[in-house]
Amino acid sequence: MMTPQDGFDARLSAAFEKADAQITPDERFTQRVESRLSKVVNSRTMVLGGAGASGSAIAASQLERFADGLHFQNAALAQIFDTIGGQSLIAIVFALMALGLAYILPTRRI
Amino acid sequence: MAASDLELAALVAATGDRHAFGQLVERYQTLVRAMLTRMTGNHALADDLAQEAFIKAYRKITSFTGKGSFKSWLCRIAYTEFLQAVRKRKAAAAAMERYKQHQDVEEQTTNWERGDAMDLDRALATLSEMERTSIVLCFSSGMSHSEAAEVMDLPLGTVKSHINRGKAKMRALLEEKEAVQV
Repeated sequence: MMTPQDGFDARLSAAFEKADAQITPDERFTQRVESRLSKVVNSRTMVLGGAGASGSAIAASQLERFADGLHFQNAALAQIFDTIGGQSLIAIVFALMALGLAYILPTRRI
Repeated sequence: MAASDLELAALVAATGDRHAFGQLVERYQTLVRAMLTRMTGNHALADDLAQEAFIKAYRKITSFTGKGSFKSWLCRIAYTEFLQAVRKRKAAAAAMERYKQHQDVEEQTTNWERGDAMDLDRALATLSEMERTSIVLCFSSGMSHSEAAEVMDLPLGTVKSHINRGKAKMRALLEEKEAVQV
């Protein structure tokens, strides 16, 4: 048996349904959210990449023996190696790798 | 076949895929915007809060474990956004003030049952924040009492009480209005 309360519930549901029908899907809303997500991803990349690059640079700077053992056939590379120093060069390469990884990972798709 | 909410959420959590999250936004934007519109009584403010809710959901997607529904989890974030906006008493208070001023301008002659959102929003504005939220979650967002309790982080019995009190107030107000019109 339907009570007066049930009747009111049905009327209330119908009123909400009609009122909410005025709120239609808005493609621009989705676009606005997605464009803001780009900024979130970029800032995350900066933070993760920065932290990763710093960590890698510090770690690589400890590879003294590895740097000493490197010899380049290419004259230009050898010149850079001599100018910057082996450890610094390895630290820079490691930092760039970490930065690249932080950039690629958020955009990777399965 | 379209991916389920859980699959999309897992993909977003694992890879940060913006397009996968965009699909979730498309799926739930109407629900969240409608819920916040009924809570605030203001379309523009509701859209702003909905946008913030989706951005927060993206940031916190790893906290969605799949135990409850994605809808409940998202509505909880949107509800928290609403509460924060109310507490700040800036945009929300200004919007409500404008809304109340608008209320005094002219009495509508249309029946609330004919889908007059303004009448419905006026009735909702007379409820307490908890009563309004409980009513909106159950009647607008189509949630069960248990889901509403989960979203509001309140005991089930408390939510039921809020709903009953809210309905009684709305019924009295809307029927009084109908009596005046007759």
